[in-house]
Amino acid sequence: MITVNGNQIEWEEDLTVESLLKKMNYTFPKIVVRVNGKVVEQKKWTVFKVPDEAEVQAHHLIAGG
Amino acid sequence: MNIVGTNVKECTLCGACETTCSTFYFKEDKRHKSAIQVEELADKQGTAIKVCNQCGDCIEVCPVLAIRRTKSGVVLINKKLCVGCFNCVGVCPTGTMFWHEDLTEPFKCIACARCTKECPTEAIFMQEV
Amino acid sequence: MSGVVEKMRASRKVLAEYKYKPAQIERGYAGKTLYVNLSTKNIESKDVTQQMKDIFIGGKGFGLWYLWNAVKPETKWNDPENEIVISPGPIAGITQYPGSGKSLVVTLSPLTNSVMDSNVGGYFGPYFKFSGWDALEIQGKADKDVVLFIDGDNGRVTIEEVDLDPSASHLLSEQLTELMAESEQDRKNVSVVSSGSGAEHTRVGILNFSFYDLRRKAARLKQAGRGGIGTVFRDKKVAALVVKFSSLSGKSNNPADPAKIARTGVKITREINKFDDAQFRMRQIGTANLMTPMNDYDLLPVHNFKYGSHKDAVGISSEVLRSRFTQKMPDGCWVGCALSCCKAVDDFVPKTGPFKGKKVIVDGPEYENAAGLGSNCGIFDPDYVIEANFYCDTYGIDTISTGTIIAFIMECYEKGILNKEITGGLELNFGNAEAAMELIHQMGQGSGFGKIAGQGVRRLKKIFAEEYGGDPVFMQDIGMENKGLEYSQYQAKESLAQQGGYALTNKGPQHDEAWLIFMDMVNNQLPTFEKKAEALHYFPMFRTWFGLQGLCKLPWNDIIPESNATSDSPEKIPEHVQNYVDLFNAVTGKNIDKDEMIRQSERVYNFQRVFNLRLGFGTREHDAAPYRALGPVTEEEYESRQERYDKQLKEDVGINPEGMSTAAKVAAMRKYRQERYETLIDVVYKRRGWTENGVPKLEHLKDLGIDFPEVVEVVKKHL
Repeated sequence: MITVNGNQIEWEEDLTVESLLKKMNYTFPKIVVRVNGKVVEQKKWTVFKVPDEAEVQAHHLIAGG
Repeated sequence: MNIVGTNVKECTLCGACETTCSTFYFKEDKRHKSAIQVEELADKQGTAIKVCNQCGDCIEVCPVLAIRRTKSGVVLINKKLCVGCFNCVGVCPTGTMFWHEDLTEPFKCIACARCTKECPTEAIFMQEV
Repeated sequence: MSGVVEKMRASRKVLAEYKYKPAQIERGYAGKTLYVNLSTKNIESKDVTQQMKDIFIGGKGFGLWYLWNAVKPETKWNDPENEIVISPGPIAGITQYPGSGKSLVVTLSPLTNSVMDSNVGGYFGPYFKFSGWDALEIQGKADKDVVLFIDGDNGRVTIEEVDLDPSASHLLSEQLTELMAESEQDRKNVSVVSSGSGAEHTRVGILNFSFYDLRRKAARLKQAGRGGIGTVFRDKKVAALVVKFSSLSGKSNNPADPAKIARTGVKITREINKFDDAQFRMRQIGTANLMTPMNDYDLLPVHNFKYGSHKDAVGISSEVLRSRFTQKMPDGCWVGCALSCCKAVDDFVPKTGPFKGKKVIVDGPEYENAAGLGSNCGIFDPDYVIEANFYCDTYGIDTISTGTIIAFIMECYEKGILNKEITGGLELNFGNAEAAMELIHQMGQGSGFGKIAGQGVRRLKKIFAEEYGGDPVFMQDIGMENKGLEYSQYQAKESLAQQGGYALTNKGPQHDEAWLIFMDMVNNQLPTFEKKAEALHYFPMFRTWFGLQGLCKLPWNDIIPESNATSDSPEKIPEHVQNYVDLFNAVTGKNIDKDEMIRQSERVYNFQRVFNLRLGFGTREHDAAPYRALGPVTEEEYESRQERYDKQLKEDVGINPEGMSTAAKVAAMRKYRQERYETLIDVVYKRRGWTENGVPKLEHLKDLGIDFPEVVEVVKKHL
C-alpha cells in the first residue's frame, strides 16, 4: 500500500511514477511529483520505481483561467 | 545571403571584433554593446562566438512588425517602430539578439562585415549561405 | 467600410472640448485623473494624491476610491451619479514583461446592485495612461449617444456626437479606429472601448477594449466581461471611448529602474519560449488548453453544473479548438506579451444572424466561453461555440453569464417550469444549439424571450416563480448565481475551498479571486479548515494585486519556472512572485517585499468589502451559495456519481449508505456539506480579520490604515 496525495492506493511490482500517474488518471500537463519527500524529475518518470509504503505527492500546479 | 561565418578554433578572444562593432554603432568600446560577442565556454572547453545567423525567428514574434528581412537577406530592426519589448531577445535560438541595460531597444548583427576585417586570425569571415 | 467612416467623419459634432498638456509619466504614474460628466458636459483634470498612491496603488484601487466618493448608499446602477471608472495601474504599459497592459473597470452593477470590477486587456489602458491620465471617471448621462475622444498626441479631449451604429461592437471598433488614424500604419496607435446592442437590452453588457492587430489588419477585442459594465455604459449613452497615442516606446512608463524590468522580462520571456510547448501551450491554444484536463478531472461544467464531464466533450476538446485557431501569430492583447494567449479563428463564416455568410474574425473561444456556452448547455459542437462566442462579443454580452443563464433556462425547461409557449417556440433542451443560438440573438437584439433571459439568473428565478409557478426552492438550489452574478465555469462540488473561492468574494463568483480546486481536491494540500482558510486569505489577496497594477494573472502560473520543482510552496510560484515584487519596485522606486504586496491588496480588498456594506450588502447572508455549487441537488446527480458519494457518506459523514434511498442519501449529504460550508465561512472570516457576520473589524481596518472616518461610520453600524 502507498499513499498518493493522502489517498491509500494499492502498490504493485514495478510501479513507476508514470504508470502510477496513469493509474490515477492524472493527465494534467504540469505535475510536480515527490516520492518520500524527494522531487522526481519528469524525465525520470518512466524509470523511477515507486517503493512499497511510499508517500507520493503529485502536486498539480493550479492554472485556472 | 551573406552572414558572419565563424571558425571558433582560430579565435583568440582578443576582442577586436567587439571593439570594432560597439565603437562603430554605439561610439564606445564596451563589449556588451557589440553585436558580435566572444567568450570562453564555462568549462574552459573552448570559445564561443555569438553572432546572428540571420535565421529570422525574431521577425515572427515582433508585435509591431519592427523586424524585417531586407532583399539581401539581412534581418533588420527598425528602431523607430520598436517598442523595446525584447520578445525577440527571448525567442532568439542562438542568443544573438542582444540587449543592454543602457539601451531601450535590442540590437543585432546586420552583416556589415566591419568586424571581419579587424579579426587577426580569420576566426570570423563573411560567408555566403 | 471607408464610405461609412467618411460619413462618420463628416457628421462629427463637438459638444465639449478640453485641451491639456499631457502629464509626463513619473515612475508609472501620470498624477492626473480625467473626469468627464456626460450630463453637464464638464471635462476636468483632477490631481492624483500621494495618499491614493500609497493606499489604493492604482487600477481597481483608484476605481473603488473614485466610485466611493461619487455615489451615495442609495445610488442605483442607472442613476446619473454612478460612475464607470477605468484605471490601468502603475505597472501597466511596460512592454518588457508579459501581461502588462491591463485596465481595471469599476462601476455599480445592474446584476448585483453593488460594486463590480473587471480586468481587461487591449491597448486602451496603456495608451490612456501615456496620454497623461491614471484614471478616467465617467459620470452623468448623455441624452443622445456620444463618443469620448482622447487625443494623447495633441492633448485634446472631446465629447462628440457622431453618426454611427452602436449595435455591433466589432464593426464600431474597426470604424472608429479608421476614423481616428491618419494612415493604415497609424491604426495601431488607436484603441476603442465599445459595447453593443445586447448591452442595451440585458443586464449582462460588456465592454470590448480593442487592440489593432497589424498582421490581421483588424481591430481585435478583449472583454471587461463580468457584472454588466457594458449595460451601465450604454445606459449613460456612451457609444464609445477612443484613445490615440502614437509615441509608445520601451520607456513610456518612465520607470525608476528600467534595467531591472528588462532583466526580469527577458528571463520570463526565455522561460516561456523554453517551456510553454510542454506545459500549458498558452501560445497555441490559450486558456482553451483547460477543456480537456477539466473534463478528465470531472471539473468541466455540464448541464447547468450538474456534472463535471461528458462523453461528448471531446467535440470541443483543447485539440479541436487548437485546430481552429490560426497559429504562429504573436497574439498578445498588449505588446510584448510573450505568453500570447488571445487566439483567433480567422475567416469564420456565421451560419445565423446579422453576419450570416460574412467572413469575421472571432476572438477566442477561451476556456470560459467553450465551457459556458458549450458543455454547460450540453452543446459539444465547436462551430456553435465559435459562433456563439462571436455574437456575444459583438452584441456586447458576457459569455460567462450568458452560458450560465442559458444552462439555467435549459434545466428549467427540461423540468417543465418553462415550455414552448413561454419561450416563444424555442425548445431549450440541453444540447439544442439552434435554439440556444436564437436565444443569444434575441438577447442581443432585445426581442422575444431574450429580453427576459438577459435579466440574469437572480431575476429569472423570481420571474419564473411569480409568472410561471416554478418552485422557488428548487430554482434557488440550481440557479448558479451568488450576489446576483452568474458563476464562472468550474465545477466546484468536490472542493470545499473552491466553494469559498467562488462565494466568499467581493464581487461575486468569478474565479479571479481564487482557483483552489487542484490544491484542495486533487493534491489534498488543504486537509483542514485552517489550511483552506489560509488559502482563501492568501490567494484572493495575491490575485487582487494584479488588479491594482494593471497586470494579467496568467504569466504568474500559466508558465512554470524550473525553480518551482524544488520550491517549498510550488503552488505560489515563488520565483514569479519575486518577479512581481521586483517589477513594482523597479517601476515605482519603492522597496516593498512579498508581505507588503499582500498588505497592499488587503487594504483595497477590505475597502471593497466595506463598500459593499455601505451599499447594503457585504454581510454573511450575501456569501451564501446555491446548493448546486456545494453538492448534488437531485437524485440523478447523486446517482451519476454514486460510488463517490456513497464512499464519502461512509468515510467522511459516518453514515452507512447501504439500504438508504437515494433521496435520503441526498439529504444526508446535503446536511453534511452545508454544515461544512458554514464552518468554512467562520474560519475564513476569522482569518481575514472579519466578524462572524463578515464585517471587517475596526482594529483590522486600523491596522491596515484604512480607518477613515467614513469607513468607520459604515462599519460601526454592523458591529
